[in-house]
Amino acid sequence: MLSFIIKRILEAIPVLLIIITATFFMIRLAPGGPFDAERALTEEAMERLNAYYGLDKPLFEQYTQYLGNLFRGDLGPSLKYPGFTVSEIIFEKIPISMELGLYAFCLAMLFGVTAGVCASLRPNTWLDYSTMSFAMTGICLPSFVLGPLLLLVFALHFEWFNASGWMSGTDKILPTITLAVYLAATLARITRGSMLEVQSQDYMRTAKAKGLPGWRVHFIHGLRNALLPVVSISGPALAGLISGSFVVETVYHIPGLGRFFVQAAFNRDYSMILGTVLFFAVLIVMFNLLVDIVLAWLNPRIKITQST
Amino acid sequence: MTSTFKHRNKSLFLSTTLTLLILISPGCSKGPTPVAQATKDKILLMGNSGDPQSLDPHITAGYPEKKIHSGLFEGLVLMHPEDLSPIPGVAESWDVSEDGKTYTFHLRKEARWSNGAPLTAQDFLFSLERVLSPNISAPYAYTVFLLKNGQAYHNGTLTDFSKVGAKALDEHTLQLELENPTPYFLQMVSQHAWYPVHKATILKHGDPYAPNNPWVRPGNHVGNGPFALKEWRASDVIKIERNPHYWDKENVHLNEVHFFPMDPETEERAFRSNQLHYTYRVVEDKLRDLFAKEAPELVSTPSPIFFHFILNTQVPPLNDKRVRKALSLAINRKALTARITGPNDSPAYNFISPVVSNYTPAVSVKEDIQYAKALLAEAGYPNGEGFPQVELLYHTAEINRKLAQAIQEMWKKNLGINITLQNQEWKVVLANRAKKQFEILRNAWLPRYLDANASLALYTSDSTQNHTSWAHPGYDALLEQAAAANNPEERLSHLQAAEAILLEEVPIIPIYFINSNHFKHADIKGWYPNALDEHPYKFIYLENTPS
Amino acid sequence: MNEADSISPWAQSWYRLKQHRMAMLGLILLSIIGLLCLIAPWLTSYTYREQNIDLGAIPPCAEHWLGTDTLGRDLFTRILYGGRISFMVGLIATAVSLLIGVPYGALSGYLGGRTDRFMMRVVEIIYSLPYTIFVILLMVVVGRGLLPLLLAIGAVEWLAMARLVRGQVLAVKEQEFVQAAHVLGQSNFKILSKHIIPNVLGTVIVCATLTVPSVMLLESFLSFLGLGIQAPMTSWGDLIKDGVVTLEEYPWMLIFPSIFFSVTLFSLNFLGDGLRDALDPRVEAAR
Repeated sequence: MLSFIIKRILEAIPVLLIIITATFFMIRLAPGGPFDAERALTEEAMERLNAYYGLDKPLFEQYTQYLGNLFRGDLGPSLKYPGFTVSEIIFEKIPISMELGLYAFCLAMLFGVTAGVCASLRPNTWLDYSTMSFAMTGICLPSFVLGPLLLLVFALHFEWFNASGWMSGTDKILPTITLAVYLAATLARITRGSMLEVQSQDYMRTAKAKGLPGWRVHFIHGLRNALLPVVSISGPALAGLISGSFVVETVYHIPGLGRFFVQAAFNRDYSMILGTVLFFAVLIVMFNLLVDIVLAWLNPRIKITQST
Repeated sequence: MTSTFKHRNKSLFLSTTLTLLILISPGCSKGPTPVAQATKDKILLMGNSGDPQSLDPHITAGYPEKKIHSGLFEGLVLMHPEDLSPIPGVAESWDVSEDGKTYTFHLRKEARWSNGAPLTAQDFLFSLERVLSPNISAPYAYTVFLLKNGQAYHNGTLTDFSKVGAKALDEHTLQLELENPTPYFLQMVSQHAWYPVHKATILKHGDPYAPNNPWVRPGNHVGNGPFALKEWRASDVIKIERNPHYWDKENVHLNEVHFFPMDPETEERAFRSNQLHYTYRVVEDKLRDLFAKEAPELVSTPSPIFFHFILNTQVPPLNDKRVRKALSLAINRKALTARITGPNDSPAYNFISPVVSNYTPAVSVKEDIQYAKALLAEAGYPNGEGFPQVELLYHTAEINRKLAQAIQEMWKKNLGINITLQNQEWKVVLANRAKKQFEILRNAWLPRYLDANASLALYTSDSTQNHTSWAHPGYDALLEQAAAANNPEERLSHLQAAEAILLEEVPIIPIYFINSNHFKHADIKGWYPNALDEHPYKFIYLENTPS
Repeated sequence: MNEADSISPWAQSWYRLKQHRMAMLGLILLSIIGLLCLIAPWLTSYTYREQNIDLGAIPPCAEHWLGTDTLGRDLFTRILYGGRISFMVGLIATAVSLLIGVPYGALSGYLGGRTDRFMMRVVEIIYSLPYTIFVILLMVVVGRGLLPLLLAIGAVEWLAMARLVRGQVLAVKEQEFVQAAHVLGQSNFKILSKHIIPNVLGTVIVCATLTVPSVMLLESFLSFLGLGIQAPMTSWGDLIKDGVVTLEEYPWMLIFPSIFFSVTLFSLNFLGDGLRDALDPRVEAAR
C-alpha cells in the first residue's frame, strides 16, 4: 500500500508539470492580454508594462523562469492586483472555499446517499418516484436559478437570512444548500442505480439465501459495493467544491477562490490563472488518489497495488 | 494546520445551527438591520461593481477605482455635487491670468497627508512628474497634457521636467501654465490623474514607476483625502476610515465607507435586504418596471455616458459613407430607450450629451428610413440586395445583446440587410478592436468632464481611442482651432463644425446616452444628483429615516 | 447472457420496457417535446427572431400563449427553437460520453496497473486545464461554428463517465464470471463487451442521463464565450439564464423554459431507469 502511494505521488509530478506547461502556453496563445482595457493604452505604455513584468521576453524563457520561481515556491505577482502576490490571495481565499465546499459535500453525501438508498429499497414505488423526483428537481435547478430563488424567498420575503456575505453562521446556510443540491441529486441517482445493480448480484442472493437479516444484507454487503461509483465521482466533486464555485460565490457575495478561477481567466491575469490551476490540479490528484484507496478498502477484490 | 481544526469545530457548529435554525427560524427575533446599525455608526455601505485595479490614482482608469480614490485623495479643487462648480480642495484659492493660460493655486497651510506629513506644492510637482512620466503607464496621462509641454514630456521628446508648465513658487503656491486656454481646466484638475501622491511613501516601498509598487497595500497606503485606507480584502470588501489629519475633518460626517465588489443582481438583493445604502448600478432589465412603479429608492440621473457603434471604415461596404449613414438613419432610437434600456435614457442624435451645458449642437441625426434606403440604393444595394455579410461584434452582456438584436431587426426591416451578430468575451473583443478585426463594434464612452471636447477629441486621427480607422484632416484642424480659440463663441462654432463632420461621415453611430442609476437608501443625506455622478463623501451624512 | 428463450434479448428488453409505466410516460413526453421542437415552424405563426418591440414583456395571452420576452418575441416559439439546440447538444454530449467515456474507462479499469494509472492521469490533466481559456483558444484555432462547439463539449463531457466506469470495472473484473471467462480462454474484447460492460450498464445509463442537464447548461456558458449559437437564436439554457434576472418582474420568462427543461430531464431520467431495468439481464421484469 505504502509503495503504491509513493508511486502515485511520484507520478503526480509529471502530471502537474504537464498541466502547468499546457496552461502556460494556452493562456499566452489566447487573444487579449492583461493590460487591454476599455480605455486603450498607447503602444509605448503597453510595451512598458509588458517589459516590467517580463512578458516581452521569448515565451520559452518566460516559461523556464516561471518554473524556476515555482520550484522556489513563488507563484509570482498578480497582474490584476498590483502590489499583491498570487499566493497570498490564494491562501487568503482557500479557507473560505474549503469551509463552504466541505459543508456542501457533507450535506450532499448525507442527503444524496440516504435518498438513493431509500429509493432503491422499494424500486418503482411511490417512495422511489417521489425521492427521485425530488432529486431530479435538484438537477433541474441550476445554481444560478436556485441561488436567487432561495434568496428571494428566505432572505427578501421571510427575512430570515442576509442576502449576501459570509460573516455569521446563518449566512452559510443558503450557500451550502445551493452548492450541495446538484451533487446531492447526482449522488441520489447514482446510489439508487448502483444499489439496484448490486442487489441483483449473485453474492447478494447468496447472502439472502444464507438467511442473513435483510437490513444486514442491504447495508453491509449492498451499500459497501454500491458505494463504489459514489466514491468514484466524489473525488473530482470534492475537488470542485473545495476550489470554490463561481456562481454561488457571486450570488451570495462570498470571497472564495471560485471567483478567482473564473475572473483570472477573464482578466488574463496570467500568474493568477496558473496559480489557481495548479491548486486545483493538486486537489484533483490528491483526491483521486484518496478515491483509489477508498475503493480498495470498500471492495477488497480491487487490487490497487497490482502492476501488470 | 490549526485552521483545519477550526474548520472541524465550525462545521460541527454549523450542522447544529443548521438543524436548530430550520426548527426555530420563523420565530427568531432579529436585531437592527446591517444598514440601520451602519447608519448609527456612520458607516456608508456601498456596492462597487468589482475590485479596483489599484489604489494608486495614477495607474487606474475605471469607475469603481474612482469611487474609492475620491475618498482617499483630494485634488487642488473639488466639484460641488449640486452644480459641479469648482470649490476649494487642497487649494484654498486660485487666480487665473488674463489670457486664461496661467493658474496660480494657493495651497492651504494646514493640508496634511494621512500620516501627518505636511502637503506642499512640491508634492504636486512630484505627482505631476510621475503621472506624465514615460516610465509609468498612466491611462489618464492625457488629462495632464493640458500643461504646457506636458505631452512632449510624456512622449519623451522633452526630458527636463522644469520645462513643463508646473512650478512651485513657494511651499504653498503652485503655478500651472497651460498649452491653451482651457475652459474645463478646473474640472480636469479635480480628476484622479491630478491627485497628489506621497513621494516618501512610494519611494520607501520601491520604484515609483513600478506598476506593482506595494505602497497601495493596507498599512502602507498614504493619501490626503477625507479618508484613509483601513482594509482591503480582494473580492470581499474595501474599508476606508476617517483620516485624522484631513484639513477639513470637522466637516466629514462619515466614520467609514465600505465598498463591496458585487454583481448588479447581488447588490440589488443586498440593498433590499438592508445590507447596502447605495448600489453601484441597477440592472437595465428592471428599469422599466421600476419606473412604472415609481420606486422611491431608484435615483436616475442623465449622464454623458455614450453608447455607440464603431464602424471599421476600411472594410467594404462600410468604407462607403452612404452605407454608414444609411445604417445610422435606419435605427429607431426612441424605441430602444423606451423599451429596452431605461425609459429615462436619452436617445442619442448627437455625439455630445444634452447634459453638457456649454454646448448646443448645430445639426443632429434625423432618422429617415426612406432617405436611408435611397442612400443604400445609391451605394449599390437597392433594398439591401447584394449587401455583403457584415458582423456586429459586442462583448457578452445582457444589455448589449438585447440592443444588438433589436437593431439587427430594425436594419432588416427598414433596409432589407442581414447583419450577423457575434458576442465575444471582453478581452477577445478588446484584442479584435486593437487589431481592427471587426466591422461594427459596440462601444461605450464615459467622459470625465463636461465639455464637448471630451467626446470629440476621441476621433482625431492621432487619438489612441479612435478605433474606426477614420481620419479627417479638416476635423483635426477644427479641434485644434477650438483648443486655441480665445472666446467661447468662436470655440463653440469650431466644435459644432467638427461635430457636423462626424455626423456627415458617420465613423460611429450614436445610439443613446446612459443614465446613471442607483438604488439609494433614504438614510443617505447630502447626496445630489449630477451629470458626472460625483458624490464627494464629505457632503454625505447618514440619518435614520423611516421609509 | 444465459437466456435460452426463443425470443431475442432485444425483443425481451423492449417488452420489459413497455411494462415499465414511468419509463413509457417518459418516452411519450420526450417524443412529444422533441416533435414539437421539430415541427416548430408549422406550429406557430411567429419566428424565433421576429420582434414587436411595443409588445415587449407581456404575460401569457391569447396571441402569445406563453407571453413574450422584452423584445416582444413570442416565448413559445423561442422555447421550441431553443429546444432544438438544447436537444442537439444533449445528444452530442451523450454520444461523446458513451463513445469515448465508456470504452476509455472500461479499458483503463480492465487493463489495470500501469496502463490504468496512465490513462487516469490523462483524465486528470484534461480535467485540470482551464476550460474558459481552452474554449477561447479553440475559437482562435478552429474558428466558430458547429465543429468547435462539438470539440468543446467533446473535450470534457466524457471525463466523469470514464472515471465512473473505470471504478465499476475494477470491481466487476474480479468477479467469478469474469474469471471463468478468462479460464475459458475468451478474448479480452469479448470479455469486455460481453461480460463487463453489460454489468456496468446501469451506472452508465444513470451517468448519461445526468450528462444531459449539465451539458445543456454548459452550452449557455459556451455561448457566453461566443462559441456555439449566436443571438437571435436561442437555447433553453440561454432562456433560463435570461429569465432569472427578471424573475420577479416577468416570471413567465423563467417559468416556461424551466418547465420544458425540467419535463425533458424528468422524462429522460425515468426512461433511463426503465432502460436500465429492461437491459439488465438479471432483473426480472419490473412490475
